[in-house]
Amino acid sequence: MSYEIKFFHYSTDSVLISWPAIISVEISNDIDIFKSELSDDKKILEVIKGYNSLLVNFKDSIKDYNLVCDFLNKTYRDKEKKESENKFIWEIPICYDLKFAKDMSLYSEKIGLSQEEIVKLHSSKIYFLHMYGFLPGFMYLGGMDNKLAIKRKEIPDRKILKGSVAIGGNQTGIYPSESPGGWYVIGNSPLNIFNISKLNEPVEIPVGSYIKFISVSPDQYYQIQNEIKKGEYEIIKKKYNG
Amino acid sequence: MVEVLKQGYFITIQDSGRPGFSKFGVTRSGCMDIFSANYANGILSNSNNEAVFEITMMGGEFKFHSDIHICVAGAIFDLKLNNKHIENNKKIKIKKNDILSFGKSIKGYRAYLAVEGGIDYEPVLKSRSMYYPLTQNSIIKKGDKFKFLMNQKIKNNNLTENSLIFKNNINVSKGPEFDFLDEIDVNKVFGNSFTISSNNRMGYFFNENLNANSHSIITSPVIPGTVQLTPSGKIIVIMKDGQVTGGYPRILQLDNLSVSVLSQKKHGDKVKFELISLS
Repeated sequence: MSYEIKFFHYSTDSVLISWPAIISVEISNDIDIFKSELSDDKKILEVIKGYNSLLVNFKDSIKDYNLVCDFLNKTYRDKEKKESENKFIWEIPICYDLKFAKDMSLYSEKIGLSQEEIVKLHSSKIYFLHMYGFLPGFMYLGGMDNKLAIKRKEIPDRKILKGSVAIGGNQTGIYPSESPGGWYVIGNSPLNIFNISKLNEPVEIPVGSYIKFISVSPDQYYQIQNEIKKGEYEIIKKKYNG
Repeated sequence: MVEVLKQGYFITIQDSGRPGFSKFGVTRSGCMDIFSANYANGILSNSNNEAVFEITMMGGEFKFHSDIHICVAGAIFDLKLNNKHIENNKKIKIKKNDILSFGKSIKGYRAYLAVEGGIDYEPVLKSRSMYYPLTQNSIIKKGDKFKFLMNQKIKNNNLTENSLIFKNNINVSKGPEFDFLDEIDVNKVFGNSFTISSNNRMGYFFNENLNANSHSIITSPVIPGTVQLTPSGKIIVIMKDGQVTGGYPRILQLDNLSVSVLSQKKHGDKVKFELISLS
């Protein structure tokens, strides 16, 4: 399907394209298909995706803005209809044990749910990976249960450990590297979401995938960590059937 | 080869950055003042993509272990070669064992040291720009040694005079959420000066406030030069190491030259935003 899209002259060399202001899997998939149509265009420096928008940054200054919009609009209307047949649910192991979850007690108290309820709610949903942003390899996930939402910390923590699984606002995510942050840490994943040793493809899970969190014990966590170190671990993925 | 004798306040290796990897959440990076860096490379007939040293505010001493040509552009520092003053924007012949030292910046904030052929630093995601944790280091350190590349020379027929980077006016066009500003804010933005409170490679921050507000947007793309409005009314200009997406309204957008102009400003400097039309 096609949406009503709007164009905005963002800078001398870029155009911002906006979809209706909603966060949805359908819009995200529509943007991804359009984005892939632009991927071989040598005139384009970079295309940046938001939940409901796409910024097309050209290499050179835009000379005729209307012409560029016509071209983008035509590309959008003509884009091939692709079935989302190759979508997978990627299973990400998380240890919610208190030693991996520095904010669990405080978070549990603040939202009025027990630790067990939190783990159950967090690991039962299937999330949708809209895009990466904020940090290299940080996933913007849609689909968290609203009961888990919490206002971000007033004063961000100076150091959140790599692999931390955290909740802020109505979003949840995994810190791919150590960073300051204002979210509540409720667990940790042993996976390297962003792997710089893999040249040019540092992330394994493509945008548009589905994600499920699998609760693991500390022992399983260390075992997976060990397998990753030896290069023997492969993320479990299952075909998504809608 | 060049050896770092003193690491200075903040020196990094940068090139034209790593656009194209925002799909992994990877920031653009690259020289803050790309106009000056291009000039330094251009004087040496290097391509614009060659890596250079970005020297910030003060300090830094380099010992050369081979003969080479260099050029320094951008901010004007108290710059000495073997204890004798040398000038920016000139092709300078370096002999083995020469020592180049950067004192304090006299005008501007970021200088660029280019070497003939370019600095050899291992590219990550097609760029030599330092950005931790992509690159192992985030700055150069005392004792570091860097080889030079012998990349083919190119002709630069139209080098732009780069004194333009020292103006105080910042050209901006309207951002997609410009209309979130009321009349009072619009008058403030274009009537008042803004004083830089702090800055780094991720962003520029200012003392002056616009109205506190409760605007936010669905997380959307930003690029270097995007001006965001935070709930407290503070404005932030996203720079080269800034995030690729953000949830604050984007009220203005700097043009490319103005990103370079702003990069030469430091704590306490004042700038004025001047509205330009893109069409």
